[in-house]
Amino acid sequence: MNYVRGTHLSRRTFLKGLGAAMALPMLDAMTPAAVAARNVAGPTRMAFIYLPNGVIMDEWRPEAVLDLNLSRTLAPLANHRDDLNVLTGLAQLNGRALGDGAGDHARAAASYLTGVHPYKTSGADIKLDVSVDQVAAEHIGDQTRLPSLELTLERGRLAGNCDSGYSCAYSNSISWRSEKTPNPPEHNPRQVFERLFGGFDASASKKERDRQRKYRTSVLDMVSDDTKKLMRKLGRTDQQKMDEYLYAVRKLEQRIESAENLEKLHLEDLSTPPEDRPSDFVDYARLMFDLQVLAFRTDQTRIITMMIGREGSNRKHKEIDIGDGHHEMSHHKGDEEKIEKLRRVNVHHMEQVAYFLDQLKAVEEEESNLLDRSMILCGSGLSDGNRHRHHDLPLVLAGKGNGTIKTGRHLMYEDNVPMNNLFLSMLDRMGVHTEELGDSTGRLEHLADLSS
Amino acid sequence: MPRTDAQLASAQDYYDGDIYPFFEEFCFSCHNDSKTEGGVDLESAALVTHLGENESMWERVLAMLESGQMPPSDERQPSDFDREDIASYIEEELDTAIAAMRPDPGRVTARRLNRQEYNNTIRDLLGVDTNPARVFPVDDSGYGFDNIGDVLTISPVLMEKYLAAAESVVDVAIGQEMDPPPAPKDGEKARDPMPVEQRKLFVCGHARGEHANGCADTILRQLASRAYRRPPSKSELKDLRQLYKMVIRDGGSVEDGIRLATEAVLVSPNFLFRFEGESDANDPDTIQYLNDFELASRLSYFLWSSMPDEELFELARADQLGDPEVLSSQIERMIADDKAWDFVENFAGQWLELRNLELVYRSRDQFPEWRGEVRSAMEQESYLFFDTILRENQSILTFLDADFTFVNETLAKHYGIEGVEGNKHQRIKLADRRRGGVLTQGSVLTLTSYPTRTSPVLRGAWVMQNILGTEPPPPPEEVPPLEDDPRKLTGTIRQQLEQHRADPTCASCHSRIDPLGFGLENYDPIGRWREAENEHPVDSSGILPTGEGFEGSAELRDILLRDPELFVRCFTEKMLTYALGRGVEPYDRPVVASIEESLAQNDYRFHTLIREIVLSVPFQMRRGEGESEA
Repeated sequence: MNYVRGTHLSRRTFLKGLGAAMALPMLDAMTPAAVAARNVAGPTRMAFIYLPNGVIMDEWRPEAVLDLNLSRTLAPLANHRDDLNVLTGLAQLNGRALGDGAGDHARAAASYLTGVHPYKTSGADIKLDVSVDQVAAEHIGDQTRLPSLELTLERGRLAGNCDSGYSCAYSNSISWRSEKTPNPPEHNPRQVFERLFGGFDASASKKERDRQRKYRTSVLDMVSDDTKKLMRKLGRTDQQKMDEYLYAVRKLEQRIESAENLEKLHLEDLSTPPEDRPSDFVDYARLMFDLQVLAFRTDQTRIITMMIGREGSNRKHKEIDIGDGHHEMSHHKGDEEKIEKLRRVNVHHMEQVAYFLDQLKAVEEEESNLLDRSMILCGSGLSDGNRHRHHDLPLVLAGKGNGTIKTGRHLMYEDNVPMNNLFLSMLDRMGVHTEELGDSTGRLEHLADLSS
Repeated sequence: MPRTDAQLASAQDYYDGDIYPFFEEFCFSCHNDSKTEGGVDLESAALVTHLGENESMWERVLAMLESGQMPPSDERQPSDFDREDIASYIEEELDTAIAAMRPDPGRVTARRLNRQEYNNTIRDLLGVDTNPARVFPVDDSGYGFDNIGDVLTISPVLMEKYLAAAESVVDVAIGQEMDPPPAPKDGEKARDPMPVEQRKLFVCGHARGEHANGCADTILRQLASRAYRRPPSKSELKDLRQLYKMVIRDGGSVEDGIRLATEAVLVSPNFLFRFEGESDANDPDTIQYLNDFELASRLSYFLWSSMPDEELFELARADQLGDPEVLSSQIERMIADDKAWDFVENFAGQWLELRNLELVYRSRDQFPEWRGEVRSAMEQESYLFFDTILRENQSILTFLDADFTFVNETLAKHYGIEGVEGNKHQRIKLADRRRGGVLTQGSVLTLTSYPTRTSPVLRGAWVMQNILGTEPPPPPEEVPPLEDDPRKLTGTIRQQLEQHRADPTCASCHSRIDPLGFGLENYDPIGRWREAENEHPVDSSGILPTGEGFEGSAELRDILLRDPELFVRCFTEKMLTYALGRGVEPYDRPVVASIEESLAQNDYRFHTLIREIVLSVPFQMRRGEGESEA
C-alpha cells in the first residue's frame, strides 16, 4: 500500500482513510472465503485506457521485433517492461470514412471498442453496437456488485454536434451497452466513489441500514409496477424508453440488495469519500487510477473503461507547460516544435498509466498480484492524429491475464488485422466465449506463445 | 404522398383511357352541366382529375356506385367488374387526396427531463433550489439541442443518481417546511416558521407532530398532481398511500411517511418523463389534439424549461387552453416572467453555441487580455441581447444587425468603446457599424476561432449552420485537409486558404464557406476589432456564390438582411425543434412555410414566431406511431 504518496491534501486525507480502513489483514482475511466461492485462481480483470488524438508513432513504436526495447514515448513504462506487450499493426478500419466524409475523431472513439462503423448523425438516430467491455459485462457482470465502470478525465460538454456532423455521444463514450445506448463516463472522483460504495451508510446501525434497504426496494417496486401499467398505453418507441428505465431500476435494485455484501468488507472509513475533482491534473489522474485499483481489489467490478480525454480533445496540458490545444497540435503538418510537444503529451499520459500499473502490481493477491491477474489495454483509435489513420494503432497490453499472456515482447501483426480479434482473445480470458464481434475474423495469435 | 411527374402522367393516361369513358357512358346523361340530377354535375367535376378538390361529392358518388343505387336500375348497368374497378379508383384517389390535405403533426418521443429541466422542476415543485442535477451525466443532444426525446436516454448510473437526488432533495424540502427556524442571535428578530402558503408539501398547514387524519391524502394528491403535471390515477394514489402506511406501521412519523412517498414520486417515470397519450398509440392514422395538461407542459417546458405554474394548471383543469386567445395571453405572460431567462440561456446557448465558450482557451503569451471576466462579459452580452429582442418583441432580423448592444466596463474596453463604467452590463447605442448583431459579438467570434488565429472556415461554417441553415458539405474523401496540403502553403491564413482552394476540388465548397468568414476578418481571435494582422492590412472583402460582393462585415450583414428568407427559415426550424423536442421532418414543411409567411406579414416579430409555433399542428397535436398505410 502506497497511498499516501500524493501531495494533494484532500486526496491524501481520503486515501489515508482508505489505508486505515483497508489495513491488509482485514482484506486478506476476507479474501479466501470470497474467492474460494468463485474461482480458485482468482478473477481476471480488464481495463481499457483510451488516449485521444493518436500519438507520434515514430516515437512510440519499439525498434526491435519480439524482444521489447521500449521507445522514448513508452520509456515511463520501463519498470513494467516484463509485464507488458506492445502491439502494432492492428486496425479499426470501420473508423475510416467509408463514404461518410469528415468526422474521424468521432469514428475513432466509436469504433475503438466496437469494430463497428457508426451511423453519421447529429440527431436522434445514433447507432453503433455493443462494445467489448459490455459484452463481458453482460456475461460476467452479475458476479460483482457493478457490472462495469466507465470513467473519463475530461467531461464531455459541447453544444451541437461534436465532430463534423457526428453526435457528441460518439466522441464522449467508448463504452456502449447496446446499439443506441452509450454508457456515459463519470469524471468526478467523489461520484465514482459513490458508485462503488454508495448506498452504504457506515454511520448507521445494522437495523437502520436494513430498514433503509427495505424502503428503497419498496420505492423501486412501486415505480416498476407503475411503469408496467403505464407501458400498456404507450407506443412502441415510448415502450422502448420504458424498457430502458426498467432495466436501470433493476440494476439499481441489485445494487441495493448487494450493499449488504459491503458490510463484510468492514470499510468503515469509506464513509469519508474523496473530494470533487482535484485541480492538479496529475493528482486528479492518480486519484482516478487509485479508485480503479480499489474497485479491482475489493472486487466491486472486473471491467473498466477510462478515457484520458474525449476523442478530439483540445485540452491544454498546462501541468507540463504546454499551452496549445491537444487536437489543434495533433494536426502538426510536420512542424517539429508541435511534434515535440505532442511527444511530451504522449509521455505525460504514459506516466499516468505507469502509475496505474505500479499500483496494480503493488496489490498482492494470493501468490500473484493485481497486475498479473489483469489485462490493461492502453491505446488510441487513431495512430497518426495528423492524418487520421485508423490502422497500425498504438496499443500496449499490460498484465499477464492470470497467466495466459506471455509478456515482454513487441508483437508486430500484419497490416490491418482487426483489433476485434484481440478482443475475442481477451474475452476468452474473461471466461466469455464469443465467436464474433464487430469485424472480427478470428482470434489474435501469439498472445500466449509461451515459447517464441 | 406527392407523386412524381412520371406517376402523374401515367395516372392521367389511365384516367383518360378507362375512367372518363365510364362516366361518359353511364353518368353524364343525367349528371351534366345543364341537367344536374341530385345537384351533381359529374361532367364538370370529371374534367378535373384531382378528386380531392370535390371530396364530399365524390364520397357520395362512391357510396352510390358501391351500393348499386347508381346508375338507377331502369338505366343501362355497367358490368360488376367495371363497377368495382371504378369504385376502387375513386377510393384510392380520395385517400391520397385526403392524406395530402391532412396535416401530419408527427410524434414526439416521451421526453426525459434534462438536467436543467430537472433542476427547475424540483425548484418549482418543492421550493428546493440546490442544483441537484449537477452530478448527473451530461445529456446528449440531437439536432443541436439537449431536449430531444429520442436522444435522452436513461442509464443505471443516472437511475442511481435520481434516487440519491430524490433522497437529498426531500430532506431539504421537509426541513425547510417543518423545522422551526434557528433561535435568533442577539439583536436579530426571531424568524417565523415557513408560512403555509409558501409550503409545497405540507399544504394542510399543521406543525410537525400535529397532523390531522386525512392530511397525508391531501398532501399526496396535491404532490402527485403537480409532479406528474396531470391528475393522478386512483391506483397511483393508492400505491403512494401504501408506502406512507408502511412507514407509519414501522413506527415512523407523518413526515417520515411523506418523505418516502415523495421519494417515490421523484423517481417515478411519470415525474422524470413527459408522456403524451392517445387513444391508440400504435395507429398512425390516429391524429388527435393533446389534452390541456399535456399542452400546459409543452408550453412551460418550451418557455420556462420547467413545470407549469398554478395558473396554467388552473386553465388546464378548466379546459381553456384550447382557446387561441387564452394561449396568446399566456404566452405573453410567460415571456414576461423571469423564468423565461431559462429559455434564453437554453435556446440561445445552444443555437449560438455559447455553451462552448467555456471550453475556449487562448495562449497567455499571445492574448494576455483574455481573462475569465472578458469571457463571461461576452456571454452575458449575447444573452442580454437575445433576451431584449424576445421581451421587447423586436424583429428577429435584429439578430443579424442591430444598433444597440450590452457591455460592461470590461467588455467596452475590450471593444474599444468609451464611457462605460462598472461591472454591470448596460444597453448602449452603437456609434458606428463595426458592431451590430450576433455575428459581431465577441462570444461568437471567439468560439469560432482557433487558440492562436482566426479561422474563416470555422466562422463561415458557423454562419452557414446557424444563420443560413445549410450544412457545410463534408470534405470529399481522398482530399487532404489544409494541414496536409502537399504544397507548402505560406502567408496569412486568408492567403493560405486561397491557395488551398485554388484546387478546383476544394474550391467548389470553400468558395461557399470561406467568404462568409472573410467578411469577419476584422475581428481577432478574441473578438477585438483590428485593421491589420501581423502588420499586413486585413482584407475583409469577399464574393458570395451568388456573385454579390462586399467589403467588410457591415456590407455582409446588409446582404444577409436584403434576403432574410434563409435566416428566417433557419431560425424558425431551430425554434420548432427546441419547442417540440424532435427534429424537423419533411412533413413539417407546410407548417414551417406558413409560419414564415406569418412572420413576413408581422415584421418578423419574435412573439409572432412563438405564438405561431404554439398554435401550429405539430405543437397542438400528435399522431399514433408507425407508417401510415394510406
